[in-house]
Amino acid sequence: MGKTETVKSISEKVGLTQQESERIFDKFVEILSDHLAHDEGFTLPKLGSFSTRIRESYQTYNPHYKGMINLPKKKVVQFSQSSTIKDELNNE
Amino acid sequence: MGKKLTLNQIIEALSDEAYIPKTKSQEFINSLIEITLAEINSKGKATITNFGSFTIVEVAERTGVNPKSGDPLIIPAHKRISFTPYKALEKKVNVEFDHLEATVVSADSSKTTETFSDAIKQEPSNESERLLDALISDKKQPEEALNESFEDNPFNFSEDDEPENTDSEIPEIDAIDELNTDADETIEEFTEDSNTESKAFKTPGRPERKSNSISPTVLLSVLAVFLIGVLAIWFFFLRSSEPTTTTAAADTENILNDPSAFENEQVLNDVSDANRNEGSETEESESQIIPMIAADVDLSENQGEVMSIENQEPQIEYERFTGISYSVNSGVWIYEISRQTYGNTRLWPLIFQANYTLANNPDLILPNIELNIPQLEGSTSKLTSNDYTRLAEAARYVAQAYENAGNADQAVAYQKAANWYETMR
Repeated sequence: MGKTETVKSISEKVGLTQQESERIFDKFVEILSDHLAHDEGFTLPKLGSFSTRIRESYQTYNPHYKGMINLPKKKVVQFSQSSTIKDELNNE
Repeated sequence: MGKKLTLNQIIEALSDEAYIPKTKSQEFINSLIEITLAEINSKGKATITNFGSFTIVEVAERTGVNPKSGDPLIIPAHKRISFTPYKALEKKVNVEFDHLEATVVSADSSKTTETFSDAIKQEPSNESERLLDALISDKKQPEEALNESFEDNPFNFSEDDEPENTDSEIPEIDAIDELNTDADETIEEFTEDSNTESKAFKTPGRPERKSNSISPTVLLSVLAVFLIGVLAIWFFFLRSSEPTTTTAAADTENILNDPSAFENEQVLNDVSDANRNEGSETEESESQIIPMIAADVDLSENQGEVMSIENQEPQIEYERFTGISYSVNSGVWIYEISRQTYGNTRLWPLIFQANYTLANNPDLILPNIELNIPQLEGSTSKLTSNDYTRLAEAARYVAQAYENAGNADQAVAYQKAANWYETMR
């Protein structure tokens, strides 16, 4: 499901126009990414929590280059699933 | 690490930024989560565009250890949600370390840790790496560099051979022979290339078709970037002489966007990037001999000029913004002025604070012939912490003005916005 479909079904649920909900959708994503960029984590209920951590540089084998390469230090988004969705997935 | 944000803070931020009531923003977030969850359950994956995607992953059974008692423990097979951030988010988060690039590990350090079988597999590439390093850094004679690496190979093999494999010496020797012939071939290739001074830089030890496919793209990209650079400069000088700086700025913006987009396409992965760098560097060194590729040397100069244009851009914007007289008709919203000047409606409190008193109602601004547009320290898309401080002040100012005008709802909203800007510092 792409953005348009998501926006469409949200607009039906909340009672907003599609244009309006698309605007809010973009703002929402912007807010979330801005906070992650400032090292602030958050939890979306039932889904899981998001935070950032620094992944240290490490060496790995690159099959294209056929040699070891050193991947640099990087800040990555960390996702941790919520316990509700964990139970939901595994009790089927 | 870092702070944790509560859901309430997100809801408030959304209602402030999107100018919608809190209840609506709460409903919006809840329904978005609901839809995402429903999709994960029904299809096994879901996406939030420009943020990230979720997929269900099957985790196999494994044995772990009970952390309390230290007993071994079987963790049964289960499902888990994995999250993959969008490129945009990944980049935004990684701004701090974005300049770092993947590097090839030097052959010496990797050899010590490798097993013998690995050494056979990786020998050709290590050889090529050392060759490239030697060529790029020291600009040694290619024959010398080749001889060096060539002499190293048999030595290493004989050393590794003795302690490990005594039974199967015949295949081992075969392997060495193959390797030697390989190396011979690469020498021939290499010397041929350097003699004929062909543009394509063949990297010895790598499959030939690979190196053939890389070199034309490198050349094409270099030519394209060069063309775009020339066009950008031409546009800039042509238009800057005219009084309307706005169109020039817009044009240069468009053109400046193009090369970056082009480069993004090129940089598909780190390795190809590394190859490209090496390729272009060697080309530059070659171009000292070949007048045909002399354009490449010009390219670096052109890129410098493009950079300087980029640096000048904000100044042009400010010239456009400051000291412009806006005859404000009744009915023109201050948001609209903010959009026209800063390119973002959210910054209108700055204009209001600079031009109007607390007695004015922000919704019914009076005609003011000379509107003073305050300068930003950063740019509209990238505000600095000082800008956020000023924005917070301005938002408080607006909140006070709204309160004076009897609009309590908006006053509260802007007070919240001010707090939000303070947290963004």
